[in-house]
Amino acid sequence: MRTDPEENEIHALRTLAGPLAGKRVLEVGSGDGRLTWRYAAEAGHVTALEPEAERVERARRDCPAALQPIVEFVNLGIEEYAASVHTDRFDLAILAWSL
Amino acid sequence: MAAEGMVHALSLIHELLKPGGFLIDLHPGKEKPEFSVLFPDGSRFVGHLEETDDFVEYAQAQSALERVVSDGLYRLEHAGEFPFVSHAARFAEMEAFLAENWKDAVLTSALRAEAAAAFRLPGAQEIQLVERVAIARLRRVDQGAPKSMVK
Repeated sequence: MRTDPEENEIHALRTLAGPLAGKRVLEVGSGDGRLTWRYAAEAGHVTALEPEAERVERARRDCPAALQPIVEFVNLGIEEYAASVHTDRFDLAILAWSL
Repeated sequence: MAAEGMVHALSLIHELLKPGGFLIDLHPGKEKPEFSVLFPDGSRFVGHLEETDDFVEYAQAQSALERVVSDGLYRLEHAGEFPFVSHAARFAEMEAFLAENWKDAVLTSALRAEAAAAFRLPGAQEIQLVERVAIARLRRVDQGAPKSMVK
């Protein structure tokens, strides 16, 4: 099974996001990290929220070594996360298939 | 997530973004995803993917985005669309993938029959599922409505 080998999704994301270098990114509903792996190396830091524990475990297990200092997987939904942190933290939020 | 929950989530994200920050939303568009079987000289349409809830959440997502723009929380800077294609060597592989990743997908008997017929033809290579995905960039509006105004 191959999903988006044409890389249309990451191309569209890059086009709209512009350069990610040094930026703090919030990904809401990151699932098993499928999209995260494709852009995280370009970002300053990624906080990836996913409420399903099983998916977070899979993402942490599969996270490439080079991305481990950059990506933080958080097993929370947006409501719980927003209640636990300060505001004005992120340059960019990505909602990929999560609304 | 129900429509009001989507608006609430977008208002929470507004609070988490720095002034001048932005969000990028991707969600499936209005058109039903299409299955095609690929051949060396082209592809053959075999049917649409259906959903148990008739794709209601995608219309709700679009409405939620429009709502937070009209509420003054965000400014829409760009909206577009792209094809997202999933490829499987056989229908059974596609079906297993959807069972794992797309819980409310419905594969009709007509689709199954058309796909089986296409795979019986010489040269059938794979089955593709093409989704049209909407993508939008929304900039945080710093003088946006206070949280209390967002229902």
